[in-house]
Amino acid sequence: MFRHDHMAVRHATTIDDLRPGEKGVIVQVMADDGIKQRLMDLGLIEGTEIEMIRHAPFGDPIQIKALNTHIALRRREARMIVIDAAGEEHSESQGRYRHRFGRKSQLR
Amino acid sequence: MNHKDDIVIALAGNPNCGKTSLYNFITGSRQHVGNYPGVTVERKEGSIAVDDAIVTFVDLPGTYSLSPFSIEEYVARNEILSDRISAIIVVVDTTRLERNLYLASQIIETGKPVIIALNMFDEFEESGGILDIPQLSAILGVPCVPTIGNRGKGILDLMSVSLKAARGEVPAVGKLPRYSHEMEHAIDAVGEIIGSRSPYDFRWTSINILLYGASFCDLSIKTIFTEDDYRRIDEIRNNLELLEGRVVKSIVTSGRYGYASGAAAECLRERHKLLSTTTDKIDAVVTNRWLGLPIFLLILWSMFQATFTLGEYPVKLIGIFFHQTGFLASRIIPAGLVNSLVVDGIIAGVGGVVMFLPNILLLFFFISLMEDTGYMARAAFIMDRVMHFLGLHGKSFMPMLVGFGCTVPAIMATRILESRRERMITMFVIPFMSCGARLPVYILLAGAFFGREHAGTVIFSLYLAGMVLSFVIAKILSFMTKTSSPFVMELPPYRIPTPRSVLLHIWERAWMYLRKAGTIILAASIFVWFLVTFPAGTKQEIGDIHENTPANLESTYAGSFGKLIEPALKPLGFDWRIGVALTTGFAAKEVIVSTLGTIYAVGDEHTGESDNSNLQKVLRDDPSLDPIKAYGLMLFILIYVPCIAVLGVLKREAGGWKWVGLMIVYTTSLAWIVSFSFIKAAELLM
Repeated sequence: MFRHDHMAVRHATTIDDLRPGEKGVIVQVMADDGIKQRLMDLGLIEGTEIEMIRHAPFGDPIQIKALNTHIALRRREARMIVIDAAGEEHSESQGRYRHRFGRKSQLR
Repeated sequence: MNHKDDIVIALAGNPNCGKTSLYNFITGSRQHVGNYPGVTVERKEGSIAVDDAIVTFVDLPGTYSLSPFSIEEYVARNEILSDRISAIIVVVDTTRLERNLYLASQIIETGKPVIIALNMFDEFEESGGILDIPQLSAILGVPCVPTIGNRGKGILDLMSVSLKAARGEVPAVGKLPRYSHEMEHAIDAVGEIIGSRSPYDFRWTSINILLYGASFCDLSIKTIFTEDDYRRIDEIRNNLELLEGRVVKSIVTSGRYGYASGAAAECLRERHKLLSTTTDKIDAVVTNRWLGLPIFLLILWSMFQATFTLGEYPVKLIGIFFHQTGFLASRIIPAGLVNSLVVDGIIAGVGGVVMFLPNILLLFFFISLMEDTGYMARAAFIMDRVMHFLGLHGKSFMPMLVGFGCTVPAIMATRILESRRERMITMFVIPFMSCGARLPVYILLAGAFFGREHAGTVIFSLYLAGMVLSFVIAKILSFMTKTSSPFVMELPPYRIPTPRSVLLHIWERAWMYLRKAGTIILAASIFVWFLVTFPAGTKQEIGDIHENTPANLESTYAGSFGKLIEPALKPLGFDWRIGVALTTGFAAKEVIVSTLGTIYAVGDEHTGESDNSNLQKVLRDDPSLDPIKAYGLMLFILIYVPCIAVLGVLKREAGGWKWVGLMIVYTTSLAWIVSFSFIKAAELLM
């Protein structure tokens, strides 16, 4: 898979850059040991598709959706997760979403 | 030793997968609740007959993984690896198969027999999902049984299959996740170093030493390997990470997720609709950027309002009951020492505490409702920014909220916080979240000095004062200790709580409270009665004890002790009787009410009538107390040393007597300072 080097990572899009409703695919999790393990255990690993849902009442933390689960994390952690932003055109309807999964399992 | 009866099966699973309700259905009321040695992670165990055997089921803490980064995961892992566990049931939320199979993959990797309970199967099917269960069993190599935990469906099947798996009658040692070529090489290389020295599964040990190095070996096996072994393993890890361009954790996690999602993809004939839209809709309002906070505050306010208004009537009924019992007892039992002990000591003391059971139950009812619906996690999400500012964590709010019920479970609940620093700060501010046991004292004093119409406001202001104080202290403590831990948590889907689980929760609390009334408070009541009766009483004829005048009371043990500490309380304007009450309140805060009841009842001309309205009248008539001093006293009671049960749990949780000592000194001096400042300021202004 495509891998960022650290220079590129500095300007990369992270979950924190997403606006509510926007989606992206995780490219890399750049965190320390403990927190990295926690993020990964929750399914935030390379290749996972995530959707930004909303900001909390004071703007932080944020609520995202990944692997059919809502996850809350602070923006500080969100900035550690580099994504490949799919942009607005990808915030698709439920029908297309299901279709993508169908295609994925056929590929297997 | 190898009886048929010696089969122990553990239940593992993610948080929010319905494991607890499944477990409750399996063991029913036959469960024994305790703690894991050394740590206060709750440990539930229950034995039950399955087919021809007695099987013990152990409920492991809910975890996402078995990494050694949190106490729960550490405890769960050790339990799974221990010899006495013959099989592990992994409870899986079928609507979120990939994520849940990720944990299953780690447990399968330990090489122990595993049974998968496909829980919430009804929810999965209702949302249009179709799963090929035989194929899932074939792919994972372990039995898979569909269950509906909250309705008890599939439980018998699950238990019987688990028993067979534990006995090796059905194949249950699963197929292992395979990793990248380089990783597999590294596993083999580590395997050569460790040889046959690990008591655990060979491959499992290799993978975990690669993942966590020596820190994995916090188990008893650390010393099995030499410094040189660890150095060589570190070398293998470094080479592997260089080769793969990512850390071992990433390699292993993606490998396990690949295993989980691969299995799910092969067996899901039809994907269920993604995430119940109800949760999305509720969240759109409840965690909304603008509405979230007002809704949260409204829920909190209604909760307290309901606790007190709904509780008022049953509280009165219980009060009348004890009043009548006391009256009856005082007539049946001949006047004398025994009469005094039963009526003034036991009935007045225990009754004064049991009276508030309805309030306690209501409070725990609302707290368990918040937990079971999934709202508690939202509360943490909403409050995190504020908590973070105070140097705490959104999750700190949950134990603090529980603290309104009882400080003991609240301190235990701090274990959801991963960072020790935040855990310690939270523990040290929880006592200011005024607990249910302090409530009877407020009701008594506020009712006596502020009248029925203002009592509610006064009590609310005390709760508020406690919260403000906890925020201030948290901020100060967080200045003293820098760095904060990350906030990452799952927001579980909203679920309608089953009456069964809510009732079970309340029943547990009710039982705890009544047991406390029957033990600590009973003992304290008798002890206090003894202190206020002797030695003054012995000088007189037994029958004359009732005529103990306040002057006589001063010469009792209680009086002498009260006199001893009176100088410390003098500046606050409290006399020795308050001193005695505050001291006995150390056993349990409700005891303050019963002590005052006993002191004033004994000192009073006519005994036997020690219900609250009478006591309130007597207190009001006491010239040494006025509304300002009463409020100061309530502030003191809010802040000063938490009860002995809290200190016990604090010692275990914080790890050492020095924290207990610190807690005693800091809360009591703070109580004195706050109370003194309030009384002096108020007297100056009035």
